Formats: sequence, C-alpha cells, structure tokens
Amino acid sequence: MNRRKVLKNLGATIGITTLPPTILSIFESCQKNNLKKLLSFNIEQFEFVSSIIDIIIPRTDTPGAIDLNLNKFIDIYIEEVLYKKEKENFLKGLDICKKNIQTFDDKSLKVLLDKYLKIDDNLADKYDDMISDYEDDLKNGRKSVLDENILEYTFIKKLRDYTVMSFRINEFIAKNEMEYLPVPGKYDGCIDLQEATGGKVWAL
Amino acid sequence: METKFDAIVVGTGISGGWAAKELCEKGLKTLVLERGHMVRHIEDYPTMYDDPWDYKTGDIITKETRRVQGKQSRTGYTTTESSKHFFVNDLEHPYNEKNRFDWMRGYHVGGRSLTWGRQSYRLTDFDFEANLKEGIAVDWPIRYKDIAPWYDYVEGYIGVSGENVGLPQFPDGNYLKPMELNVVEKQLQSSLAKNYNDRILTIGRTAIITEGTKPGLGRVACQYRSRCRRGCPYASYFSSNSSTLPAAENTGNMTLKTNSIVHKIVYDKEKRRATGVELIDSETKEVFNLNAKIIFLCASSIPSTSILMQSKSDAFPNGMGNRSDQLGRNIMDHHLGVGASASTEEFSDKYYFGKRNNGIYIPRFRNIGGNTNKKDFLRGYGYQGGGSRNGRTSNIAEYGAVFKEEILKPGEWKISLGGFGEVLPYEQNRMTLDYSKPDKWGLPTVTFDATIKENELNMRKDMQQQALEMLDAAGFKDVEGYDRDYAIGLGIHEMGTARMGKDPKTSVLNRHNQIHDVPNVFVTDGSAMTSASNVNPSLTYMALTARAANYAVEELKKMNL
Repeated sequence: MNRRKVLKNLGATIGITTLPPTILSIFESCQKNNLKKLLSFNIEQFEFVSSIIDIIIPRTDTPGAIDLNLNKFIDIYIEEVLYKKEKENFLKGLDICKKNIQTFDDKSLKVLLDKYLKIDDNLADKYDDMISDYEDDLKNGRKSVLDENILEYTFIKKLRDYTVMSFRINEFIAKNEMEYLPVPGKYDGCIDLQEATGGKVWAL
Repeated sequence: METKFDAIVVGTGISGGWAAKELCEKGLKTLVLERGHMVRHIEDYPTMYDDPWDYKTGDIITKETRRVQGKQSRTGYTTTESSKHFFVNDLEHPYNEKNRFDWMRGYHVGGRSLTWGRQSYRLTDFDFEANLKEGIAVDWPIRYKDIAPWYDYVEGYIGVSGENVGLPQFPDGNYLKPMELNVVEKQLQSSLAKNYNDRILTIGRTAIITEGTKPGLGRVACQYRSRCRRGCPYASYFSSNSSTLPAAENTGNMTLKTNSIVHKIVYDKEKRRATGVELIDSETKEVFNLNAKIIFLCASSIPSTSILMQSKSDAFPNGMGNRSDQLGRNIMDHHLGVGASASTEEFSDKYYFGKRNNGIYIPRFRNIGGNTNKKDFLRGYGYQGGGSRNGRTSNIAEYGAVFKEEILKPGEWKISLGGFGEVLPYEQNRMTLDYSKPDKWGLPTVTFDATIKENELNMRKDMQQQALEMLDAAGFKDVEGYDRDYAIGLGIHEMGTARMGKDPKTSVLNRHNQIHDVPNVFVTDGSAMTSASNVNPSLTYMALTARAANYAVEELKKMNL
C-alpha cells in the first residue's frame, strides 16, 4: 500500500495532462512501429477507432487510451479473438458509423457516442432482443441480417467494452492505477475498502 | 528396459498418483505409465507467474485455440492462454458425438490433477443406498463406513480446508482451517439461517493447504494468487505432480514411463489372470509388452473403459470384464450451468484482501427424508458460487475523464449460486468404440451417445427456482436466473462406465474395485462409480484407490492374486 501512495504522490507533482517524457516516448515509439502491420483495420478505420477511444479514455494526469496503445491492442484482439461473423459485423458497424459521421471532430464523435451509450433503456432492450434473435438465426443456419442502427449500436458498445477491458489489463494501469499485488500471501474476506486498496479496484 | 514388475499403474492423474504412492510405499516395484509427456513440478509450469499483459490479447481464449482445441474450449475457461497447454489438441485426439458430449482432458503427467477444481466432498449413505432404495441401476457394493476411514486418510495427506457443520447429508471430515467468507456471502449465510430450516451455507471444502505443510515437494499454505490451474509454485493445492508422485519416487520403487499409450490388458486364460499390458510409444510407435502381478487402471473413466473394451480375447470377446454388457454404459456427470445471480448496493465500504480460489457451498437439501422429498425428481443437488467485487461499470459518465476514474474503482458486490446436480445412471447413456475411425496410432476412437433426461430436467427447474428465492430472501437486487446449455461432460466429471456392484452379471467391478472375472485388475478412477451423487468426485476416487491398493497388497501377500 505504501508503494501505491508513493506513485499517487508522484502523479500529483506531474500535474494534469503532462506525462513524464520518458513514459510518453516509450508509448509513442511502440505505436509508430506497429502502424504498418495492422491486422483488422485499414488506416482510416484505425484512425476512426483511435479517435473514439481517445474520447472514451482520454489522457488526463495519467496516460489515455492512445498513450497506452489500446487502439493497437484492439486491432489485434479483433483479429485473434472474434469469430469471423462477429468481426465482420464489428467492422460493418464501424464503417457505417464512419460513413454517417463524416468528420471525426470531438463534437461529432460525442454525438455518436451519446446516441448509443446514453440510449433509452427500452430501445436498448429492443436492440438486444433483435441481436439475440439474429444470433439464434445464425446458430440454426437461417439467413439473417442486422439493420444499420443495430450494427452501429453493437460497434459502439463493443468498442467501449474492449477499451475498458484492455485498459484494465494494461500493465502500466494495473501496476500504477489499480492495486496490483500478485502474491497477496493471505486472505481476509471482510476488510475496509480504504485499508485494502485505498479505494482502488484490485488489478488481476 | 525391465519388463517385469510387481504392479503396473496406468495413468498419473488423481487416481494414478494415489495408486503409485500406495503401491510403492507398500514395497511393490511399480511401473507407472502415462500416455502423455512429462510435467515436472514447478519447472514445467511455464505460465505460473504470467500476468494478462504477457499475452497479446490478454489471458483469454483465442480463435486459433478454438480451432485446435474446439471441444476443450467448450467450458469457456479451460483453454485460456495461461492454461491451454494442459488440455489436449482436439485435432490430434478426436472423438465422435451422437449427441454433444464435452470431454475435457489433458494428456501429461499429473493429468487433470493439475487443473482440477479442488472441491473435495464425501459421499454419504444417502448416495450409497439410493440405487437400492429407488430400484435404479444396481446397488453400490459398499457403504459409507467402508470408505470413511479412507476419506480421513486421504484428506489428512492431501490437505483439505473446510468447516465441519454436522449434517448427515454432508459428513464432517478431517479439515484444515476454513477459508473466510466475504461480506456478501456472510449476508446470504445469515439470511439462510433466518429464513430456512433445511439448508445452510458454508465455505467450500477445497484441497488447498491453509495452515502448516503437507508431504510432497515443499507444500506450504496458500498465497491467495488464484492462479491454481497453471500449476502452483507453492504446491498449496494437491496435485499428483507435487504430492503423490514424488512420494512414490522417494521409495525407489517407481519406474515412470511417459509417452506410453496403453491400449490392451493381456489375459492368460489358463491362470485366469491378467499378465500385463500392451502399449504403443506415442513418439516412435514401437509396441511394448510389460508384465506385472497386478494392474491398476487409473486412466480416468473413458480411457480406462476404452482399454478394457480393446482387451478382447477368447475369454472376453466383448472386452475384458464385460460379461455384464455394462462396460461403457451408465455415463454420468454432474449437470450444472443453472442457478441465479444478484447484486447489492450495500457494503460499498468493504472489500477483500487476496484472491481466494474457492467459493461457497450450500449442501444438498432435497430428498433426504420427510419434508425434503420431492415428487418430480429423485436425488439432489448442491450449490457452489460466491460473492465478488470487480471493476465498476460507471453510471456517472459514459466516457471521458470521470468515466476513466470510475472504472478503476470497485463496483457493486455480485453474488451467484450455481447448482451441481446428480445425473442418474442410464444404460442407454453410453460410449462405444469406432474402429472405422482410428486415431493416429491406429487405435479406435470413442463415440458418445448420452443425454440428460426428465429427472435432471425437472431438477434443473428446482435448482434455478431455489437459487432465485434464496437470493431474493437475502435482500439482494437484480436477482436473475439462468439455465445455460448443458451437455454431459461439461462438469468434467465423466464417470460410471465400469461400475462397481455385487453381481458380475450386472456390474464390472466388485467391492474392492477388482474386475469380477479378473481379480488382479483393479479399476479405481471415475469409471467405478455406481451412482454419481451430487458432489465433486475426486476425493472419492482417491479414497477408493487407496482402499483398493491396500486390499491388493494384502491379497498379494496371501497369494490370492
């Protein structure tokens, strides 16, 4: 726990939106080297995804999604993990969003995010039902398509899920912004939150 | 190599390890055969210290894994990047399914003792007497009193932590200090005490050391890392690799041979005894014949049964010990994937320290007499589950700086209860061998034809309903039931295919796990089970193995084998 406090204090002295240059340069060099070998996205798709996840997890006094290369992680994840149809629909949703939004400025992107992340509960339920019907159809070998709104909705929701997931399993975040203790050595089932982690979630 | 031994043990998993230890410690020169490769404690646990960021997509199941380990991935947890190497390649080890059958397994020294769930419960006379009372299948040839001392012995050796609660359907044992419940689990526990007089909640009984040490390779108390399935550097949980095999090795009586696919037990019609085994070297495909006075088949239910089926001779045209035609029938498992979950806004100032790789347990409360008896199903089920508190899903912001801070805080407490139900033995639930689809060693592949039936389906309704009611009564919110696709084998407790019984006409093994017709062959893995009970079975396999090994050595001394 002492280690965590030291790190937090360090963060406070750096100040908002500034990162130690060494950390930044490490992240940036990784990113540039990797751009040439994208697995799932083309350059335009990659830039679009990057703009969105930069809004979801922006740089503050700690690194943001782009600093942490989460865009690159997501590119690999889409290729290595998703089923073919899942990947196809994710990219379809991406392209539809991209086509409909036209400019990638913060304001337009936030409108897009709000449309699907602040969606009315009833509409979300309706979409979720239609998605499970679609999945049942596929499972039973029936032809089925999702309409454009639902593809957009799925893309935005999933992209945020992947961003959050990759953020939480990022080594820098896990070790510096969460409570990382690979060998706890004991178990205490009921302990005060502040005492346990200082209010943070356990990493791992 | 030497070709004559006192004993041959086939398999190095949880049963084989115990057979090796007991037979070697009793002075028998023992050959232990494993079809897979060597896994040495610690040095062959390549992922034991890995973090999620050590894998390019995190510690999850990838598309490539699903391609080569499709069936092994059906649980959704067995083949993550950090544990997939302990499960077989389905392309190299195919099997056939008339109905979906989930057969998750690893071919290496230690077998599934490296990856098991570690939950360790005793069967009771509710289990041993059930078939007889209900006229189901055949009667078990043993009762609780026959196996109880062996449960004591095994628990003492491997180290099982848990709590004695004094229930007849959930007998007390020889336990190390129990792990603690967390705050939501305690809430459910006190709610059950207040609202029900037929059920209780206790901490899971798990084969993890919580205090002191146990024999083996430096076995010490749990460090609460929750990475058991990768192999434990502290050897805190029991495995063959860290415990029984080193004990066998220490005697100087064990010869361990890997890459050895036993496919046949050789029978001498004159002597009416098995004389040894025939095996294929998995690498060179060379065939060996090795001899011993006694043979312990501990390859796990399906492979042991498959070996017996392939052991055809004039005396046993349908497979060794298969006069009853019961070999390969009565496949059981525990049906699961049904229950309920909930969350609570309470206790937001509480958390836990350390990762406890153990859950809660609600012992069986159905069909144990009086008001507990149900009309629409036989037998019972228990619940496993637990409370947890993971990262928050923010409802303050949907993205941005505040969102970023929020998702690094703990979210609401969640709690879940998953049922583990007994599957009845049905003759028509069976495995057969398909010689027309040989594997790469020219051996027949296994075909499964098994499903759960009305009794299990009715039980599942009750499993979900009771879980919903208990979580609701405890004052939790967002109480939701679930009933996911289940196929036999998903519990990874496949068993029953060479059952014990009193009558050679209706069973394969006798009360000492000997094949009725071939007394020097003992089968002590899951295939011996006459009924499944509703509890995790490994402890029973270990107890049956130790008991049978003790008997075998006595019989050898008496020159009866």
